[in-house]
Amino acid sequence: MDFPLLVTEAVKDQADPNMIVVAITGMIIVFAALLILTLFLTALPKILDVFNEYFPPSEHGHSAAPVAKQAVLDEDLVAAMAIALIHHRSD
Amino acid sequence: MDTMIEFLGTTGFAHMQWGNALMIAIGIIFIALAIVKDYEPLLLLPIGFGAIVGNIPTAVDMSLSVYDEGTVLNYLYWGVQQGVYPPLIFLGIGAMTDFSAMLSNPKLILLGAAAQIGIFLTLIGAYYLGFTPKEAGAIAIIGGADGPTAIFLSSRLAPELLGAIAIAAYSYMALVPVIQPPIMKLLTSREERLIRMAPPRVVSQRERIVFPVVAFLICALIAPGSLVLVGMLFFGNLLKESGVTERLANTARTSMIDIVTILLGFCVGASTQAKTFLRPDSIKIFALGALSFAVATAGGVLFAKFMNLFLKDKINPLLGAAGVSAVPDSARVVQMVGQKEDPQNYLLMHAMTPNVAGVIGSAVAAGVLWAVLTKTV
Repeated sequence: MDFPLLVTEAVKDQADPNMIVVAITGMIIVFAALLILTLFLTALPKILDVFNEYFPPSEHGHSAAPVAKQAVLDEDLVAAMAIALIHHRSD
Repeated sequence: MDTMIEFLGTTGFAHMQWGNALMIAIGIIFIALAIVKDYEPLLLLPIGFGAIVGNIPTAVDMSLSVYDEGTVLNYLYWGVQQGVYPPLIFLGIGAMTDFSAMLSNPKLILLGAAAQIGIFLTLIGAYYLGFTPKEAGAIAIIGGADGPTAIFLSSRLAPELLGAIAIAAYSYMALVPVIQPPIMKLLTSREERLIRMAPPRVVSQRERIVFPVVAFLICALIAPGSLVLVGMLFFGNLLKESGVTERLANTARTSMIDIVTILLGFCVGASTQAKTFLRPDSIKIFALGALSFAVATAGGVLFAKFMNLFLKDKINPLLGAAGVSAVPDSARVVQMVGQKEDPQNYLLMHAMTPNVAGVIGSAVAAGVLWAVLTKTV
Protein backbone atom coordinates (compact mmCIF):
# COMPACT_ATOMS: atom_id res chain seq x y z
CA MET A 1 0.00 0.00 0.00
CA ASP A 2 1.88 3.06 -1.19
CA PHE A 3 -0.85 5.64 -0.66
CA PRO A 4 -3.54 6.36 1.90
CA LEU A 5 -6.06 3.54 1.94
CA LEU A 6 -9.01 5.79 1.14
CA VAL A 7 -7.48 7.00 -2.13
CA THR A 8 -6.33 3.56 -3.15
CA GLU A 9 -9.87 2.31 -2.68
CA ALA A 10 -11.27 5.32 -4.54
CA VAL A 11 -9.24 4.60 -7.67
CA LYS A 12 -9.73 0.84 -7.51
CA ASP A 13 -12.12 1.05 -10.42
CA GLN A 14 -9.60 2.46 -12.87
CA ALA A 15 -12.20 3.44 -15.46
CA ASP A 16 -14.63 5.09 -13.06
CA PRO A 17 -12.86 6.14 -9.88
CA ASN A 18 -14.66 7.89 -7.05
CA MET A 19 -13.44 11.40 -7.78
CA ILE A 20 -15.21 12.95 -4.82
CA VAL A 21 -13.16 10.80 -2.46
CA VAL A 22 -10.01 11.57 -4.46
CA ALA A 23 -10.74 15.31 -4.22
CA ILE A 24 -11.48 15.27 -0.49
CA THR A 25 -8.44 13.13 0.28
CA GLY A 26 -6.25 15.30 -1.92
CA MET A 27 -7.40 18.43 -0.13
CA ILE A 28 -6.73 16.80 3.23
CA ILE A 29 -3.21 15.83 2.14
CA VAL A 30 -2.42 19.37 0.95
CA PHE A 31 -3.80 20.80 4.19
CA ALA A 32 -1.87 18.27 6.26
CA ALA A 33 1.41 19.12 4.53
CA LEU A 34 0.97 22.86 4.98
CA LEU A 35 -0.41 22.51 8.51
CA ILE A 36 2.65 20.50 9.58
CA LEU A 37 4.81 23.13 7.92
CA THR A 38 2.94 25.85 9.84
CA LEU A 39 3.39 24.06 13.15
CA PHE A 40 7.05 23.46 12.46
CA LEU A 41 7.70 27.08 11.52
CA THR A 42 5.84 28.25 14.63
CA ALA A 43 8.11 26.11 16.78
CA LEU A 44 11.30 26.82 14.81
CA PRO A 45 12.37 30.03 16.67
CA LYS A 46 12.10 28.21 20.01
CA ILE A 47 14.00 25.19 18.69
CA LEU A 48 16.72 27.48 17.38
CA ASP A 49 16.88 29.37 20.69
CA VAL A 50 17.80 26.11 22.41
CA PHE A 51 20.16 25.15 19.58
CA ASN A 52 21.84 28.56 19.67
CA GLU A 53 22.66 28.11 23.35
CA TYR A 54 24.86 25.13 22.54
CA PHE A 55 25.98 26.21 19.08
CA PRO A 56 26.00 30.00 18.97
CA PRO A 57 25.95 31.50 15.49
CA SER A 58 29.46 31.97 14.21
CA GLU A 59 30.58 35.52 13.61
CA HIS A 60 32.80 34.26 10.85
CA GLY A 61 30.15 32.54 8.79
CA HIS A 62 30.36 32.05 5.07
CA SER A 63 27.56 34.45 4.36
CA ALA A 64 29.61 37.52 3.84
CA ALA A 65 32.44 37.68 1.39
CA PRO A 66 35.69 38.39 3.22
CA VAL A 67 36.41 42.08 3.18
CA ALA A 68 39.77 42.87 1.70
CA LYS A 69 42.10 44.29 4.28
CA GLN A 70 42.85 47.90 3.67
CA ALA A 71 46.37 48.24 2.58
CA VAL A 72 48.48 50.02 5.15
CA LEU A 73 50.23 52.82 3.37
CA ASP A 74 53.71 53.75 4.20
CA GLU A 75 53.91 57.23 5.84
CA ASP A 76 56.63 58.38 3.43
CA LEU A 77 54.49 57.27 0.50
CA VAL A 78 51.52 59.26 1.84
CA ALA A 79 53.71 62.34 2.25
CA ALA A 80 55.04 61.96 -1.30
CA MET A 81 51.51 61.61 -2.68
CA ALA A 82 50.36 64.70 -0.75
CA ILE A 83 53.26 66.78 -2.11
CA ALA A 84 52.62 65.56 -5.65
CA LEU A 85 48.95 66.47 -5.30
CA ILE A 86 49.77 69.96 -4.03
CA HIS A 87 52.16 70.53 -6.94
CA HIS A 88 49.60 69.24 -9.40
CA ARG A 89 46.94 71.62 -8.11
CA SER A 90 49.28 74.62 -7.97
CA ASP A 91 50.15 74.05 -11.65
CA MET B 1 5.93 29.18 -64.85
CA ASP B 2 5.20 25.66 -63.58
CA THR B 3 7.95 26.05 -61.02
CA MET B 4 6.40 29.29 -59.89
CA ILE B 5 2.97 27.69 -59.50
CA GLU B 6 4.53 24.73 -57.73
CA PHE B 7 6.32 27.09 -55.36
CA LEU B 8 3.13 29.02 -54.67
CA GLY B 9 1.53 25.71 -53.69
CA THR B 10 4.11 25.26 -50.95
CA THR B 11 3.61 28.70 -49.36
CA GLY B 12 1.76 29.20 -46.14
CA PHE B 13 -0.94 31.15 -47.97
CA ALA B 14 -1.90 28.11 -49.98
CA HIS B 15 -2.45 25.95 -46.90
CA MET B 16 -3.87 28.59 -44.58
CA GLN B 17 -7.13 27.59 -42.91
CA TRP B 18 -9.42 29.69 -40.74
CA GLY B 19 -8.17 27.90 -37.62
CA ASN B 20 -4.57 28.86 -38.34
CA ALA B 21 -5.60 32.46 -38.99
CA LEU B 22 -7.54 32.54 -35.72
CA MET B 23 -4.61 31.15 -33.73
CA ILE B 24 -2.24 33.64 -35.36
CA ALA B 25 -4.68 36.40 -34.37
CA ILE B 26 -4.72 35.06 -30.79
CA GLY B 27 -0.92 35.06 -30.81
CA ILE B 28 -0.91 38.69 -31.91
CA ILE B 29 -3.43 39.55 -29.17
CA PHE B 30 -1.14 37.89 -26.59
CA ILE B 31 1.81 39.94 -27.83
CA ALA B 32 -0.31 43.10 -27.75
CA LEU B 33 -1.50 42.35 -24.19
CA ALA B 34 2.10 41.78 -23.12
CA ILE B 35 3.38 45.00 -24.66
CA VAL B 36 0.43 47.38 -24.26
CA LYS B 37 -1.15 46.14 -21.03
CA ASP B 38 2.01 44.68 -19.48
CA TYR B 39 0.09 41.47 -18.66
CA GLU B 40 2.70 38.81 -17.78
CA PRO B 41 4.96 39.96 -20.66
CA LEU B 42 7.69 37.44 -19.89
CA LEU B 43 5.21 34.66 -20.61
CA LEU B 44 2.61 36.05 -22.98
CA LEU B 45 5.12 37.40 -25.45
CA PRO B 46 6.99 34.10 -26.01
CA ILE B 47 3.69 32.18 -26.00
CA GLY B 48 2.13 34.64 -28.43
CA PHE B 49 5.02 34.47 -30.87
CA GLY B 50 5.19 30.71 -30.44
CA ALA B 51 1.49 30.49 -31.37
CA ILE B 52 2.20 32.42 -34.55
CA VAL B 53 5.16 30.17 -35.43
CA GLY B 54 3.18 27.02 -34.64
CA ASN B 55 0.31 28.03 -36.88
CA ILE B 56 2.17 28.80 -40.06
CA PRO B 57 0.81 26.05 -42.31
CA THR B 58 3.32 24.04 -44.29
CA ALA B 59 3.11 21.56 -47.14
CA VAL B 60 2.37 17.97 -46.11
CA ASP B 61 5.90 16.73 -46.84
CA MET B 62 7.58 19.53 -44.89
CA SER B 63 8.16 18.48 -41.27
CA LEU B 64 8.69 21.57 -39.16
CA SER B 65 6.27 21.60 -36.24
CA VAL B 66 6.81 20.68 -32.60
CA TYR B 67 4.90 17.45 -33.20
CA ASP B 68 7.10 16.27 -36.11
CA GLU B 69 9.81 13.96 -34.83
CA GLY B 70 13.37 15.09 -35.35
CA THR B 71 12.62 18.73 -36.10
CA VAL B 72 14.33 21.55 -34.25
CA LEU B 73 11.07 22.61 -32.64
CA ASN B 74 10.41 19.02 -31.63
CA TYR B 75 13.74 18.86 -29.82
CA LEU B 76 12.93 22.09 -27.97
CA TYR B 77 9.43 20.78 -27.18
CA TRP B 78 10.97 17.68 -25.62
CA GLY B 79 11.61 19.70 -22.48
CA VAL B 80 7.89 20.42 -22.23
CA GLN B 81 6.75 16.90 -23.09
CA GLN B 82 9.05 15.30 -20.57
CA GLY B 83 8.34 17.88 -17.87
CA VAL B 84 11.97 19.08 -17.80
CA TYR B 85 11.40 22.84 -17.97
CA PRO B 86 8.92 23.31 -15.06
CA PRO B 87 11.26 21.98 -12.34
CA LEU B 88 14.05 24.20 -13.68
CA ILE B 89 11.70 27.18 -13.42
CA PHE B 90 10.93 26.12 -9.85
CA LEU B 91 14.68 26.12 -9.14
CA GLY B 92 14.85 29.74 -10.28
CA ILE B 93 11.73 30.69 -8.33
CA GLY B 94 13.24 29.15 -5.20
CA ALA B 95 16.46 31.08 -5.73
CA MET B 96 14.61 34.38 -6.02
CA THR B 97 11.99 33.88 -3.29
CA ASP B 98 12.43 35.36 0.15
CA PHE B 99 10.49 33.18 2.59
CA SER B 100 11.11 35.55 5.53
CA ALA B 101 7.50 36.78 5.57
CA MET B 102 6.31 33.18 5.74
CA LEU B 103 8.73 32.38 8.55
CA SER B 104 7.62 35.40 10.53
CA ASN B 105 3.89 34.64 10.35
CA PRO B 106 3.42 30.94 9.58
CA LYS B 107 -0.32 30.80 10.20
CA LEU B 108 -0.88 32.59 6.88
CA ILE B 109 0.43 29.46 5.16
CA LEU B 110 -2.98 27.89 5.71
CA LEU B 111 -4.50 30.42 3.31
CA GLY B 112 -2.30 28.93 0.61
CA ALA B 113 -3.70 25.51 1.46
CA ALA B 114 -7.31 26.71 1.42
CA ALA B 115 -6.97 28.20 -2.04
CA GLN B 116 -6.14 24.76 -3.43
CA ILE B 117 -9.83 23.90 -3.09
CA GLY B 118 -10.20 25.34 -6.58
CA ILE B 119 -8.10 22.45 -7.89
CA PHE B 120 -10.07 19.72 -6.20
CA LEU B 121 -13.54 21.08 -6.95
CA THR B 122 -12.58 21.47 -10.60
CA LEU B 123 -11.32 17.90 -10.57
CA ILE B 124 -14.84 16.74 -9.75
CA GLY B 125 -16.43 19.17 -12.23
CA ALA B 126 -14.14 18.18 -15.11
CA TYR B 127 -14.71 14.49 -14.48
CA TYR B 128 -18.48 14.84 -14.53
CA LEU B 129 -18.25 16.93 -17.70
CA GLY B 130 -16.90 13.88 -19.47
CA PHE B 131 -13.13 14.14 -19.21
CA THR B 132 -11.15 11.04 -18.22
CA PRO B 133 -9.77 11.00 -14.65
CA LYS B 134 -6.29 11.86 -15.92
CA GLU B 135 -7.56 14.71 -18.08
CA ALA B 136 -9.69 15.99 -15.18
CA GLY B 137 -6.60 16.06 -12.95
CA ALA B 138 -4.57 17.95 -15.54
CA ILE B 139 -7.36 20.50 -16.07
CA ALA B 140 -7.98 20.92 -12.34
CA ILE B 141 -4.44 22.06 -11.67
CA ILE B 142 -5.18 25.28 -13.61
CA GLY B 143 -6.86 26.39 -10.36
CA GLY B 144 -3.43 26.42 -8.76
CA ALA B 145 -2.68 29.39 -11.04
CA ASP B 146 0.81 28.08 -11.48
CA GLY B 147 1.87 27.72 -15.10
CA PRO B 148 4.91 25.45 -14.62
CA THR B 149 2.96 23.14 -12.31
CA ALA B 150 0.07 22.97 -14.79
CA ILE B 151 2.48 22.13 -17.62
CA PHE B 152 4.31 19.57 -15.53
CA LEU B 153 1.15 17.74 -14.49
CA SER B 154 -0.53 17.83 -17.88
CA SER B 155 2.64 16.52 -19.54
CA ARG B 156 2.45 13.57 -17.15
CA LEU B 157 -1.30 12.93 -17.18
CA ALA B 158 -2.79 14.33 -20.39
CA PRO B 159 -0.14 15.43 -22.92
CA GLU B 160 -2.81 15.83 -25.60
CA LEU B 161 -4.35 18.70 -23.62
CA LEU B 162 -1.07 20.36 -22.74
CA GLY B 163 -1.39 23.29 -25.13
CA ALA B 164 -4.91 24.24 -24.04
CA ILE B 165 -4.11 23.80 -20.34
CA ALA B 166 -0.91 25.83 -20.54
CA ILE B 167 -2.58 28.64 -22.46
CA ALA B 168 -5.52 28.66 -20.02
CA ALA B 169 -3.21 28.66 -16.98
CA TYR B 170 -1.02 31.47 -18.27
CA SER B 171 -4.00 33.47 -19.53
CA TYR B 172 -5.65 33.39 -16.13
CA MET B 173 -2.35 34.21 -14.43
CA ALA B 174 -2.12 37.24 -16.68
CA LEU B 175 -5.71 38.14 -15.88
CA VAL B 176 -5.26 37.98 -12.09
CA PRO B 177 -5.79 41.77 -11.77
CA VAL B 178 -9.07 41.41 -13.66
CA ILE B 179 -10.51 38.19 -12.19
CA GLN B 180 -9.67 38.49 -8.51
CA PRO B 181 -10.75 41.98 -7.31
CA PRO B 182 -14.52 41.53 -7.89
CA ILE B 183 -14.48 38.23 -5.97
CA MET B 184 -12.43 39.76 -3.16
CA LYS B 185 -14.77 42.72 -2.83
CA LEU B 186 -17.86 40.56 -3.03
CA LEU B 187 -16.75 38.35 -0.15
CA THR B 188 -15.40 40.98 2.23
CA SER B 189 -16.82 43.99 4.05
CA ARG B 190 -15.12 47.38 4.06
CA GLU B 191 -14.18 46.91 7.73
CA GLU B 192 -12.46 43.64 6.88
CA ARG B 193 -10.53 45.19 4.02
CA LEU B 194 -9.30 47.90 6.40
CA ILE B 195 -7.69 45.43 8.83
CA ARG B 196 -3.99 46.17 9.26
CA MET B 197 -1.46 43.44 9.85
CA ALA B 198 1.25 43.59 12.52
CA PRO B 199 4.71 44.19 11.04
CA PRO B 200 6.65 40.94 10.49
CA ARG B 201 9.43 40.01 12.92
CA VAL B 202 13.07 39.77 11.94
CA VAL B 203 14.00 36.25 10.82
CA SER B 204 17.44 34.83 11.56
CA GLN B 205 19.67 33.35 8.89
CA ARG B 206 19.57 29.98 10.62
CA GLU B 207 15.79 29.90 10.30
CA ARG B 208 16.07 30.70 6.61
CA ILE B 209 18.63 27.92 6.10
CA VAL B 210 16.73 25.27 8.07
CA PHE B 211 13.42 26.11 6.38
CA PRO B 212 14.04 24.78 2.82
CA VAL B 213 15.49 21.50 4.08
CA VAL B 214 12.72 20.75 6.56
CA ALA B 215 9.92 22.07 4.32
CA PHE B 216 11.15 19.81 1.53
CA LEU B 217 11.22 16.79 3.84
CA ILE B 218 7.68 17.49 5.07
CA CYS B 219 6.19 17.99 1.59
CA ALA B 220 8.08 15.21 -0.16
CA LEU B 221 7.47 12.64 2.54
CA ILE B 222 3.74 13.41 2.63
CA ALA B 223 3.31 13.64 -1.14
CA PRO B 224 6.30 12.02 -2.89
CA GLY B 225 4.77 12.92 -6.25
CA SER B 226 5.64 16.54 -5.52
CA LEU B 227 9.31 15.63 -5.04
CA VAL B 228 10.57 17.04 -8.32
CA LEU B 229 8.80 20.40 -8.11
CA VAL B 230 9.18 21.12 -4.40
CA GLY B 231 12.66 19.60 -4.45
CA MET B 232 13.84 22.09 -7.04
CA LEU B 233 11.97 24.96 -5.35
CA PHE B 234 13.60 24.38 -1.99
CA PHE B 235 16.97 23.51 -3.50
CA GLY B 236 16.93 26.88 -5.24
CA ASN B 237 16.02 28.56 -1.97
CA LEU B 238 18.82 26.79 -0.12
CA LEU B 239 21.28 28.02 -2.75
CA LYS B 240 20.07 31.53 -1.99
CA GLU B 241 19.94 31.34 1.78
CA SER B 242 23.06 29.28 2.47
CA GLY B 243 25.23 32.28 1.68
CA VAL B 244 27.98 30.08 0.26
CA THR B 245 26.56 29.46 -3.22
CA GLU B 246 25.66 32.96 -4.27
CA ARG B 247 26.98 32.39 -7.80
CA LEU B 248 24.76 29.35 -8.30
CA ALA B 249 21.73 31.11 -6.82
CA ASN B 250 22.38 34.10 -9.02
CA THR B 251 22.56 31.94 -12.15
CA ALA B 252 19.40 30.06 -11.19
CA ARG B 253 17.37 33.21 -10.62
CA THR B 254 18.63 35.14 -13.63
CA SER B 255 20.16 33.49 -16.70
CA MET B 256 18.81 29.99 -16.18
CA ILE B 257 15.21 30.87 -15.40
CA ASP B 258 15.21 33.35 -18.27
CA ILE B 259 16.46 30.76 -20.76
CA VAL B 260 13.96 28.17 -19.58
CA THR B 261 11.11 30.70 -19.59
CA ILE B 262 11.89 31.58 -23.19
CA LEU B 263 11.98 27.92 -24.23
CA LEU B 264 8.90 26.97 -22.25
CA GLY B 265 6.79 29.90 -23.36
CA PHE B 266 7.79 29.61 -27.00
CA CYS B 267 7.29 25.84 -27.16
CA VAL B 268 3.91 25.99 -25.42
CA GLY B 269 2.83 28.64 -27.89
CA ALA B 270 4.14 26.62 -30.83
CA SER B 271 2.19 23.59 -29.62
CA THR B 272 -1.13 25.39 -30.06
CA GLN B 273 -1.64 24.34 -33.66
CA ALA B 274 -5.20 24.95 -34.77
CA LYS B 275 -5.89 21.27 -35.48
CA THR B 276 -4.89 20.23 -31.95
CA PHE B 277 -6.00 23.34 -30.08
CA LEU B 278 -9.31 24.45 -31.61
CA ARG B 279 -11.54 21.73 -30.27
CA PRO B 280 -14.71 21.83 -28.15
CA ASP B 281 -12.65 20.43 -25.28
CA SER B 282 -10.49 23.56 -25.28
CA ILE B 283 -13.54 25.74 -24.61
CA LYS B 284 -14.50 23.46 -21.71
CA ILE B 285 -10.94 23.65 -20.39
CA PHE B 286 -11.00 27.45 -20.48
CA ALA B 287 -14.38 27.55 -18.73
CA LEU B 288 -13.26 25.08 -16.07
CA GLY B 289 -10.00 26.96 -15.63
CA ALA B 290 -11.86 30.23 -14.98
CA LEU B 291 -14.15 28.48 -12.52
CA SER B 292 -11.21 26.83 -10.80
CA PHE B 293 -9.42 30.15 -10.47
CA ALA B 294 -12.49 31.91 -9.09
CA VAL B 295 -13.16 29.12 -6.58
CA ALA B 296 -9.52 29.17 -5.47
CA THR B 297 -9.69 32.91 -4.84
CA ALA B 298 -12.98 32.60 -2.97
CA GLY B 299 -11.65 29.61 -0.98
CA GLY B 300 -8.67 31.60 0.27
CA VAL B 301 -10.73 34.65 1.23
CA LEU B 302 -13.44 32.63 2.98
CA PHE B 303 -10.86 30.60 4.89
CA ALA B 304 -9.25 33.82 6.15
CA LYS B 305 -12.67 34.89 7.44
CA PHE B 306 -13.07 31.48 9.04
CA MET B 307 -9.68 31.79 10.76
CA ASN B 308 -10.72 35.21 12.08
CA LEU B 309 -13.46 33.52 14.10
CA PHE B 310 -10.73 32.03 16.28
CA LEU B 311 -7.95 34.60 16.15
CA LYS B 312 -7.40 37.49 18.52
CA ASP B 313 -5.28 39.41 16.00
CA LYS B 314 -7.50 39.36 12.93
CA ILE B 315 -6.18 38.62 9.46
CA ASN B 316 -7.12 40.89 6.59
CA PRO B 317 -9.21 38.41 4.55
CA LEU B 318 -7.98 39.92 1.30
CA LEU B 319 -4.75 38.01 2.00
CA GLY B 320 -6.64 34.78 1.27
CA ALA B 321 -6.85 35.73 -2.40
CA ALA B 322 -3.06 35.53 -2.58
CA GLY B 323 -3.32 31.82 -1.81
CA VAL B 324 -3.49 31.14 -5.54
CA SER B 325 0.10 30.76 -6.53
CA ALA B 326 0.41 33.39 -9.24
CA VAL B 327 3.56 34.89 -7.75
CA PRO B 328 3.71 37.82 -7.20
CA ASP B 329 0.68 39.00 -9.18
CA SER B 330 -2.01 37.92 -6.73
CA ALA B 331 -0.02 39.42 -3.82
CA ARG B 332 0.13 42.67 -5.79
CA VAL B 333 -3.62 42.54 -6.35
CA VAL B 334 -4.15 42.15 -2.58
CA GLN B 335 -2.00 45.22 -2.02
CA MET B 336 -3.89 47.15 -4.68
CA VAL B 337 -7.38 46.26 -3.38
CA GLY B 338 -6.33 46.93 0.23
CA GLN B 339 -4.87 50.32 -0.64
CA LYS B 340 -8.03 51.38 -2.41
CA GLU B 341 -9.71 51.33 1.01
CA ASP B 342 -6.73 52.59 3.01
CA PRO B 343 -3.75 54.02 1.12
CA GLN B 344 -1.57 53.57 4.22
CA ASN B 345 -2.27 49.84 4.52
CA TYR B 346 0.69 47.83 3.21
CA LEU B 347 -0.35 44.23 2.68
CA LEU B 348 2.15 43.17 0.01
CA MET B 349 4.72 41.59 2.31
CA HIS B 350 2.02 39.74 4.26
CA ALA B 351 0.37 38.58 1.04
CA MET B 352 3.63 36.96 -0.07
CA THR B 353 3.17 34.29 2.61
CA PRO B 354 -0.06 32.75 1.25
CA ASN B 355 1.29 33.41 -2.23
CA VAL B 356 4.41 31.27 -1.85
CA ALA B 357 2.46 28.81 0.31
CA GLY B 358 0.14 28.51 -2.70
CA VAL B 359 3.14 27.55 -4.85
CA ILE B 360 4.05 24.82 -2.37
CA GLY B 361 0.40 23.78 -2.00
CA SER B 362 -0.23 23.50 -5.73
CA ALA B 363 3.01 21.52 -6.17
CA VAL B 364 1.87 19.13 -3.44
CA ALA B 365 -1.60 18.94 -5.03
CA ALA B 366 0.03 18.15 -8.38
CA GLY B 367 2.07 15.43 -6.70
CA VAL B 368 -1.05 13.92 -5.15
CA LEU B 369 -3.01 14.00 -8.42
CA TRP B 370 -0.09 12.51 -10.34
CA ALA B 371 0.39 9.70 -7.84
CA VAL B 372 -3.31 8.87 -7.62
CA LEU B 373 -4.58 9.39 -11.15
CA THR B 374 -1.65 7.82 -12.96
CA LYS B 375 -3.18 4.48 -11.96
CA THR B 376 -6.48 5.27 -13.66
CA VAL B 377 -7.39 4.70 -17.29
